[in-house]
Amino acid sequence: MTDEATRELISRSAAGDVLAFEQLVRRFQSYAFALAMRLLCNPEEAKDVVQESFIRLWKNLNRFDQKKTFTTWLYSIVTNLALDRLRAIKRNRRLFISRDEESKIDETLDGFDLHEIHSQRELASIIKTLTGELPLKQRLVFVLRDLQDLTVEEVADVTGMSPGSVKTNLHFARRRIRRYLVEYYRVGSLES
Amino acid sequence: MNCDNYKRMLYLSRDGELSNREVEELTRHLQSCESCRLERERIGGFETTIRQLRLFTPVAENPELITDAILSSVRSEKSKTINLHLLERLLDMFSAPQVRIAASAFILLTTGTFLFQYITFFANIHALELAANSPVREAGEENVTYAVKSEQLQEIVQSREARQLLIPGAVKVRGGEVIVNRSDIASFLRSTRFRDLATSVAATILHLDKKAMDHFMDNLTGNVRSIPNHPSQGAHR
Repeated sequence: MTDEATRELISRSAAGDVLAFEQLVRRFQSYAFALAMRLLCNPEEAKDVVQESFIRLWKNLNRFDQKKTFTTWLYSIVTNLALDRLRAIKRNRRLFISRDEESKIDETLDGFDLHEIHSQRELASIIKTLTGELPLKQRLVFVLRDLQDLTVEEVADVTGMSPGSVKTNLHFARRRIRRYLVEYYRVGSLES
Repeated sequence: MNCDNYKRMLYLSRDGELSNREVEELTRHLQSCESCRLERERIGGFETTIRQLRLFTPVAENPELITDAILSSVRSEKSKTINLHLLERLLDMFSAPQVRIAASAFILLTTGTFLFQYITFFANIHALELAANSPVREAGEENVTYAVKSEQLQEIVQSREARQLLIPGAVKVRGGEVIVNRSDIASFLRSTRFRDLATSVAATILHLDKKAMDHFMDNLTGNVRSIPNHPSQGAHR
């Protein structure tokens, strides 16, 4: 549920109060950026998506359902915009980059020590290596549940999937990521 | 349920992912299945790694710049919205029934008046053109001179503009009357300069509105007399 102070800021913003909206942005911007960054693995793309998300939020504040959580609503906007970008990136990659070049790009992304993450770039690179090849649904539920730490119900709310579908996609995503961890980072082992 | 199903359940071991019944079933199975117990240990290591990734939260390098960009766009959106609201309010005002009726009445009145004046003007021109095209003088008909007693007409025919446009000798002023020979009137009406004269007179000399023009025409028609004269006399030729 949305707390009283946030609800107050939302209704003032919906009435056109930019100062109230500024407080809302300052309070939730970091959450939006973290999610966008974990999905896109690129700080510039993430920044653009955060900006676009809050502008879209401002235009649609009147439609906010007070019974829902504000973060869930914000996350669904960020997720949709990030997915649009990921689809566009995939399309462009298919059009302009050959398979050989693609594998060269991916080689440069791994090689970091998972237990010693020092920078955003390292983290982005690791997440990209682990989730980059997943189907978008699996990537989405993994990021929302395991990295953004949302509950299964919240993931279902954000993505519009059923809780059952969230769990199925989560299972497949974790299984594949576990395999990548073993292959790329020599972390753990697979069933013999 | 077989081991594959239980191994699938092992991937869903975070809070709330399995129901209480599923947790109980899995616990019972693990007590009796060594292969699944080993798999659980391996997956446990995977979960620790993911937890480490989760703890590292990505942070924007310059969050203030993002906030500023958002607020700047929002302010510009807001001003656009205000302008739209003003337009909407204006349109709402014009959609009020009384305003719509008043506006329609005004438009009808203006259009009607314009059309009436336009039609009247061309009807007059048409009448003059018919007169101009009618036979001037039948064979054997007397040449007729008209005398019009009108100070206003005198003033007009003696004006500089009229002198420039009229055929020389066509019109004379004598004894307070304007004397015009019928044949001269006809040739004058036929002349291409007639239209120029009408326009010029209306605009520069008369400065008449419709009411004053009607009065002027009444005055003319009420003060015309014809002076019969024989063709042999050729008075104005």
